[in-house]
Amino acid sequence: MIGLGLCALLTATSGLPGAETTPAAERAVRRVRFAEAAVFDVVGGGSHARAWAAAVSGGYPWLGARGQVGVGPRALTVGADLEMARFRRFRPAAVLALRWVDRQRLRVTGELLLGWLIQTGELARRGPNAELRIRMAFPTGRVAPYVMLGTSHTLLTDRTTVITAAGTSRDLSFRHEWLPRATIGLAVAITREVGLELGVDLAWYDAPSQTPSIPGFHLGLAFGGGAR
Amino acid sequence: MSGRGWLALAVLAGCINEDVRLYEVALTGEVVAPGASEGRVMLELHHASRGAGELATPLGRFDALELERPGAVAWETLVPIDDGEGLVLYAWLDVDGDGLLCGLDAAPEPAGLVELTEFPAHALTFSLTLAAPCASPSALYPP
Repeated sequence: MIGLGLCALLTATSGLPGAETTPAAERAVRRVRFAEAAVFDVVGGGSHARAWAAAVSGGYPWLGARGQVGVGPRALTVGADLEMARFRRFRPAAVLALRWVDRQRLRVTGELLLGWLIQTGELARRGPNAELRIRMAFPTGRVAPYVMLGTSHTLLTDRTTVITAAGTSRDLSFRHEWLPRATIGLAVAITREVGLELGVDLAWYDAPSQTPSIPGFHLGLAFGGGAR
Repeated sequence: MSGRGWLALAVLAGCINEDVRLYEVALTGEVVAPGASEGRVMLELHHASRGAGELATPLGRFDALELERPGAVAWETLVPIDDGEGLVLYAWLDVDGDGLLCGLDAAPEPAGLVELTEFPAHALTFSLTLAAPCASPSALYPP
């Protein structure tokens, strides 16, 4: 009985959730509550050590799946990323990310993706791919506007076989596909573990020789766990 | 094949994009234009046919050469053998030097075509007579 009374007294006079607090204090609590939401890790890049996050997204023309886990300081993160465009362009990749700025209202993360491009159909392509990304997220309570800027490079190898009377010779030649891209979107944390994100995707296939591609969009479901 | 060779093959099989096969051909022969000895000769090499099934179509130019005048020809070329079948040589004589086959108000310019039926072979000989006025390749082939 005495214990219960003491607990009630402490709760009423402390700044803990559940206590009678000022609106400013409540807002501060909400900010802290969702600061480590999984969906913010997905859009802002990186996860703190022993925390993991994953996401699936669908839209036009991009679809994707991603998983990441924090493994070290400064939200050093490794993961896997599968990107698809209209089920004709696939890019599985390994992800390495490091959070450069880690503040309550600003996250800036650099990402390196190393993978393989496989594009089928009339414009078939295949080859090793590397992409550098910068992710910026601005968490405020449950929501976080975000921006992703990326530059993707694929090495395309061609083979020419010349058949002469003296024999056959083969030569390899190389082309480069550049795909600069950007995504602007908004992430919403439903809980710390589950969230949604919506984004507009801007990509430019075969830049700069081709005209920029039409914008796309996607809706993603993110979830996560671990030490968050 | 060694382990390294198989590895190289596997890597190449997974990353080759355009795979072009070129067949080297040395053409020797003569272009004759009865009644006209002056003017540049425009030579074109075509596949006899391209495509398959309903998309099959005759002819398909892949190389060209200009001669100062009718006469002997020695031409080494590379035939993209996966783009079509057969080999056809077409030529016309640019009598008025305008670069156009029989332009408006121009005199008739002779043309001719020969199918090189011995292809594929690395050395081919031919004799081509330009006797059809203002004829395009498609007017002469298929015969």
